Amino acid sequence: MTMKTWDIAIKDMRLSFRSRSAIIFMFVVPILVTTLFAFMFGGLDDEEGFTLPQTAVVVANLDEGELPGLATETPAYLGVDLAGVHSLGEAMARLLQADALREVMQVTLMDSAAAARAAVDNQAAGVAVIIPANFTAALLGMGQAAEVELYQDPTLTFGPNVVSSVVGRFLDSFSAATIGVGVTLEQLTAGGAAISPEMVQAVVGQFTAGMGQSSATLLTVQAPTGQTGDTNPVAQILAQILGGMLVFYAFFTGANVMQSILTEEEKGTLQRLFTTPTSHLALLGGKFSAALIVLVVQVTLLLVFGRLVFAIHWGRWLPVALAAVGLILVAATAGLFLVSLMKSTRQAGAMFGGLLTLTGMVGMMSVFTGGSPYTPAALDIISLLVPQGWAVRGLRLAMEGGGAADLLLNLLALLLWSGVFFAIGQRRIQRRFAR
Amino acid sequence: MRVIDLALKDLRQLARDRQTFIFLLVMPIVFTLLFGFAFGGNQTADPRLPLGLLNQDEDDLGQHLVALLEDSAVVRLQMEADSPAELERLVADETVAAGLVIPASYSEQLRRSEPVAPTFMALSGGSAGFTVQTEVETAVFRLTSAVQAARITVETAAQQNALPGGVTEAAYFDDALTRALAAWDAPPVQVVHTNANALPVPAEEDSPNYSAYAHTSPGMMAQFAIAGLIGAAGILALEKKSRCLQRLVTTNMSPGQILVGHYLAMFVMILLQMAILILFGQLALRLPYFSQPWATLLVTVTAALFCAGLGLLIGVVARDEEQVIVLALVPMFVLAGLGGAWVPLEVTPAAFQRIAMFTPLAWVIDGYKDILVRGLGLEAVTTAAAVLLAYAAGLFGLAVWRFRLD
Repeated sequence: MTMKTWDIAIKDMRLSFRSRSAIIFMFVVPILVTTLFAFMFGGLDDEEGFTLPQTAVVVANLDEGELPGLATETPAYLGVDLAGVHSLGEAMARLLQADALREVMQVTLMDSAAAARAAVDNQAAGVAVIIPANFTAALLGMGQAAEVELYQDPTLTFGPNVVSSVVGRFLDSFSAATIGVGVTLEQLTAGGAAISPEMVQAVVGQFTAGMGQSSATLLTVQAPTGQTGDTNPVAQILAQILGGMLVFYAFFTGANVMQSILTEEEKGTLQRLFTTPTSHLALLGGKFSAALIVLVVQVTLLLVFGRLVFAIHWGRWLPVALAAVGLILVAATAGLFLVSLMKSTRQAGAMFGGLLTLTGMVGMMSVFTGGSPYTPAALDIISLLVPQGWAVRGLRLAMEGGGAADLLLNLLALLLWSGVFFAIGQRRIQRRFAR
Repeated sequence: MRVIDLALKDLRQLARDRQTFIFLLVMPIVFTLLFGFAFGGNQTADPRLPLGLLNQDEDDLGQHLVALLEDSAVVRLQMEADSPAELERLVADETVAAGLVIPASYSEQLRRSEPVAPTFMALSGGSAGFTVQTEVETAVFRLTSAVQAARITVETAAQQNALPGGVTEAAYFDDALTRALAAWDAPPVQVVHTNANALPVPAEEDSPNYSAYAHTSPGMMAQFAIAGLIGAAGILALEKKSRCLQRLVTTNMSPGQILVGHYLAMFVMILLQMAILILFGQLALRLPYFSQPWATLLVTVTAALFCAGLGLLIGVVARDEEQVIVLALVPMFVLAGLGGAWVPLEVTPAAFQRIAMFTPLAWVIDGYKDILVRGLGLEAVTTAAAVLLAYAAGLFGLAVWRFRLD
């Protein structure tokens, strides 16, 4: 790099770091949005990660059944004292108010189904659980099957799913005892055995004793051993967000620094510069070097900030470095390419605002849909139609524990984009300078 | 009349600017479709979540568990893994939403009442993993309870000497197990879901991705209404920079009239933008915006009044077009994020939801959701409209104060 090229690079860098709007786009907005999401998902203080949102639930127990004496002796279920309950509907309502569920459900009892539905209609509650009149009767095998109604606010999905899961588990526990007693007595009867009340009581006792099995005994839950990096889900989300923002705004930075060619042209300083013994190559080299250096600063600072403040595990240093190099090169060359297509700074404003926002958001689609289990695979392919998609992919691969070999293909793709952008951009700019 | 002339001048200027159309119409439409597609999924394919399964149990109970999961409306089984390590890789790669390994001794231990649990693998923190886990636990619980029923039946029959002659305990157990599993097809109590919705949800073929679009359409409309202010507020900033505004003040047009003229142009622009996007939502996405026309009109007009107020303040405060971009895009990101345009507020903590209700975009989105999802009418959206009007008045007042100060 000649001294002149270096001088131009230093001057452009100084301009970039003095520009308030450039600083806002380079650092403030990515950090602001990531902080917003950190707050949105409950922060990083909790080791468990997500704090499940609490759903307001109203319970209307319409159960008219009455438990025979033997069942009221059931001492406790899931840590809830059920002594003295008169019906299984009452037991169900008491279970839904268990301390263990307070974090996810705030339960209020209502007298009638209409009042419970009205609470949901008025958005005072998210879900109404309506226990029918024949609840106990159905579970004692003395009538038709009973349906517990979950009446929910249609705008909600997550909260009602959690409530449905909890209610479903309780109902299965109740049903298991009924089914078990029914099967045992049915089979004994079919085999010709005489059924005495004592035998029934003994059988019922065996089944109710097994109620309330903890879900921990049903499955051994583990994260895949291949999962590396953050195990805190909030940090994982923030890594995706900050990574996406980093890519999105790196392209703005590249374009913004290279835009100085247009600004200088409009101010006439470029023409004055060409009256001095400064080659076109030195000028272009200086501007491009400035873009590269500013991008190195931006990318490095945001990666370090993410690590220190949001505890983001970006991956091993070599894959992260490869992903960052690819991003810096493609963002700088894209800036050169875009500026070569523009006639004025006014036109550039529209192009940067519109095109870079559009392509940036397309490239970030995997970030937006990160948690959705229903994302179609085609969306990943759409993302890779823009260079931002490859840059996001590179960071994601590094975060997921990918090695240098995994990153190489991605880097090659980014180098290809960069090569094309640079070839077209520098040729067009050179031609413009020649005029 | 001068106010209208000024507004018409602004609108003509905006109509000539290609950037205006990108922010006002192209982007919200593209992102409504993209987000709807992303969150609604591929409706032609099986929407159930893929569960990688490795059944190492060669006996019957493992098969019963597989059969229970095969009938699930939530998960679909993928049995392509040959080993737990291979299954872990599929889970880690997110090829499957979760993995389940049924151990080799599962049937044997379950029959002997020994503690045994299939291994469930999922990436930590994902909603897909949570959903699949709940479904798998239900299936495991039902199988375990059926086995328990069969075991108690055999024990009771043995105690009462009631085993039929010529029937082995194993056969008696299998018979009871079959009965218990069959009983789970119609359990004595079950959950039914109903919606507090006056509007029937349209059939999937009539409106694919309805629920996804019902969220993304209002969200993107609100977000890009703010982004669309860049052009309109830019005119005001440009007038200041070119001293045109100062010349205008020397005419017999009052500062108030000048601001109202610009405000009117912004209001008309945003109103037109929202009207076109609502039309797009109604006709292309089959969202029932017109089911409650007066409610839709009220939310739209008040949302446009708020956006125009914000645009006027940005135009008054910004010194040049560059500042306009910053002053429009930063609030856009903050208000859209806080207001629930990207992620539904229901998944955020209670404190976040409370703060969100101080943001105007949350009210815009809530107002439209009242119409589109809850099927409510004019009465339901009056609170949202009142809040938006208050914001509009506040922002207009701030703009006037700042303009006078300058």
